[in-house]
Order: sequence, then C-alpha cells, then structure tokens
Amino acid sequence: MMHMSTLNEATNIRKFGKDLGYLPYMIERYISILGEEETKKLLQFNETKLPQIIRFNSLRKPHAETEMLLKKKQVVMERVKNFPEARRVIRSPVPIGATEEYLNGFYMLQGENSLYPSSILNPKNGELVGDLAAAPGGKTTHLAQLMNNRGTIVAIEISAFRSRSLKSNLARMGVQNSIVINMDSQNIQSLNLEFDKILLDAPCSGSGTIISDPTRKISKTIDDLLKYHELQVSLLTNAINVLRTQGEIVYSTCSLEPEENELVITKVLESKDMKIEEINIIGENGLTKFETYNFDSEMVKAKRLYPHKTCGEGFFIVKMVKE
Amino acid sequence: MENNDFVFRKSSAMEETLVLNHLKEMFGSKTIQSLSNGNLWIKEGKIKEVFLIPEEQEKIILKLSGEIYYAGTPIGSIVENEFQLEIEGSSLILPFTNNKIKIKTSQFLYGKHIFVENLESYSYNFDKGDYLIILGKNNLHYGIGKAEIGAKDIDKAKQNTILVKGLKDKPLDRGWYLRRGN
Repeated sequence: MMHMSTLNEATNIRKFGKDLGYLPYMIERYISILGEEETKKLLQFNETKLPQIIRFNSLRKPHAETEMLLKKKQVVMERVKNFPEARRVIRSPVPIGATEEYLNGFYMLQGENSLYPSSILNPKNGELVGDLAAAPGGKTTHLAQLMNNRGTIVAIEISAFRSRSLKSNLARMGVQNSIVINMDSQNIQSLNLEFDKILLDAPCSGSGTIISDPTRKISKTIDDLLKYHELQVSLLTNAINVLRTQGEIVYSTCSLEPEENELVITKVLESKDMKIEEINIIGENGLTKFETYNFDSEMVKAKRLYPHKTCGEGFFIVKMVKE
Repeated sequence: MENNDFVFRKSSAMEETLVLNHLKEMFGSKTIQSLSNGNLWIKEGKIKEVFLIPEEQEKIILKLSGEIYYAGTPIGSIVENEFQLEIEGSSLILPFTNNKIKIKTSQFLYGKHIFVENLESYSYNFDKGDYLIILGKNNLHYGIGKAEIGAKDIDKAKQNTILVKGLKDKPLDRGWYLRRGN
C-alpha cells in the first residue's frame, strides 16, 4: 500500500509539473534531489511572487537616513535576517525602482539570496578583487560597498549591451573603485593580474529564477545544461589561474542543476589545488551524488539555497581557497 | 589593444586645462577640490568621456592590456573642444559651489524643462547661460542644467517661462539612469 501511495504521489507531481508547463526532465530531477513532497512545495512556491528587497548603499548615504527618506514616502519595510543593510519592502505607494532616492543611488534592488555571494567573499579595503560576468552590477556594487570604495574591483563583462547597465549602476551607486573591462572572462589571464579574491557568479541556466522568469520552465534542455557546464568549468579554471596562493574565490549560480554546480566544482578540483571552505549560511549542503554522477565529498561544504526553503531565488554557492 | 572601438587613456594637459577652467569659470575655483581624489582619464569614442580615477585604480589600469570600458567616476564629456559636466560630475562638485537651485517638482528627472513656476528657491544670483545644479525635495540631487534666464529676471518672468531646458538625450539628469541605463 505504501509503495502504491508513493507512486501515486510521484505521478501526481509529474502531472502537476506538466500542468504548470515544466519540461518533464526537470520534474524528474527535482524529485530525485528533493523528494516528492519538497518538489511539490518548490513548484507551488515558483507560482508565487517574491517580495522586493532593497540594499541600502552606505557609499551614498547612511542607512538610517535612506530609511527615513523612504518612510517619508510611506514605504513600509522590514529588516532582512542576516543582512543589516537590506530591507524587505512590504508596501510602497511609489515604484520602488524609480524614486529620487533610487536615482541617487541610495539603494539597490537586489534579490535576498543574491546578497550572499559578495558577503561570503567578504572583500577588504585595499584588495584586488575580480568580478567575472559582472553585469548588471548588483553584486559589483555590493562588493564596492563592502570595500568602502577602497582597493580595486576589476569587473569583467563580455556583453557590450550588458556593460551599459553595469556602467549605469556603478555610476548611480557612487562606486569609485571599479574598472570595467568589456571582454570574455575566459581570457582573464591576458590581463596579467593576480587577484586577492574573485567572485564568479557564473552565467547559468537560471533554474533557480523560475519564480521571476517562468519561461525557464521550457527554455533549457539537458544539452543546454551541459553547454553551460563547459563554459562554467572554463570560467572557473581561468579564474583560479589568476588567483594568488591563499586567494579566495566564491563560485555561485542561480541554477539548481548539479551539472552547473557540484559537477563544475568536482571537475575543476581534479586539476586545481583548491580547498573548499565551510560557509555558515542558511541552505542545504551541496550534493555528493546525483543520478550517475558522484561528486567530491567536500561538496557538502557548498550551499544550495532552494527557493521554497529560503523564500528567495535559488542559488548554489561555494567558497574555495587556493593552496 | 586590438580591434577596439575606443581608447582609454590619460587626459592630455590641454584636456585637463579645459576641464579645470570650465569648473573654475562656471562653478567657482573651490570646485577644483572635488578632483583632488584622482586624475582625469579620457575614453575616446564617438565623444570623449571624462573619468576621475583614483591613483589606486590608475596603477592597475596602467598594467592592463584589455579593453577598458569604464573606470572610477564618469564626470562629463568633451565635445567639439567644450567640456560638459554631467550627472556624477555635478554631484561631485555639489559641496563646493553655490550654483544651485531647488525646484518643487520632479519633471526634470524625465528630461523635461523646468519652468519659473517650478522654482522653489535659489541662493545665487545666476545669469542667463550659467550652469546650475538642480536639487529637489529633501535637497536630493536631480542633475545639472543651463539657465535660460538670469535670476534678476525671474520676478518679472511669466510662470511658464523656461528656466532650465530639459535635455532627455544627454546624461544631465538622474532620470537618465532609467531612460538609458538599463
């Protein structure tokens, strides 16, 4: 009886996923990773709407002053756990992405979970920090804030079009310590720089962002995931090549797919001497096994942030130190 | 540097003089202090964009062989041998100049004109053709514009007289970041 009930549950979830417009392979792998009950919760959560999160920008204005200005506009906010610089917007009578305060760079609209990669990298004044695939600059401006505009961020973006939004955000947010280079981050060695820290929020299939972009339910096949995997391995390998010994790198994606996460790290660790560091944040441990893949046992130190469990976009984050 | 559409280089002495003279003449000599935090660099493309780059970043730029798209703070542009201070440049000199007006409405952020009736206050007797930094509610920075009439003519001007022209195709007001930045 038990067995039949589980089978029925799985069938129901497959039908639920199909009705919501997902490609079947996605549901299968979510069931494999999360189990049926959690998959159902994930699919349900992806049909809701995320709250808007703003990150106050101390490069422009002390947090308290920005908060007061927004309160004057009747914007109702609440604090965000773990991020004193962030607020969840509960209610706003004005478009929060078009206020005079926004245009003055007093805050940035940024998903809650996307605040983690820069915070985990924890750049310091005076360091040389690489930010690969940097546009539109949410994380770059966060890095600059954490560095108090000291030290240097070399932000690399391949797309000229996306570089424009990066430039706009850097200027608006009062970032003074960035250098933007319009090039393929895979060629980072050509810069002849040695970085103290690198953030690689890699281009990915974006399966953690279905809540914001439902087209992702059907837009990527397993072949696409493998193409992303190749690119991510190349980006990470090249990034590690330009990291100094004892330098730190944070690799993140907004994808839930093991091919873009644990498999990338496992592949890179085969040829690079890197130590995975524990990161003390919310989320589930990285996977050590998926379908036919076996991953490095240290992957448990990576974090998977599932949308329905964190009330944010899905993320995978791992921090490594070069030995 | 191969196949570049633009060149990122240190400003020439002539370009630096052009920028400094513009600031001194239009906004007062104290405004030069706002540039003490770095050196001027030029990105040459269709127009010459002027950046203020701190020495710390300058040292890195000098080592780079890649295509630099942006660095430091963009303060303005040089077109036909004239320097135009833009959004961030005007924000930078704000503490060092009196050329400011405060307005009651936010239409300037949409690239629209400021009319005499929109003026809330001014503390500087500007002349026609002077550059003015535009502030809005709570003294928030809105951008920069050119006076179409002098302060002495405001009282006798009609309410719908243009005081500062909005130029939505130029990065002179902070609404630019929404119009063109994303």
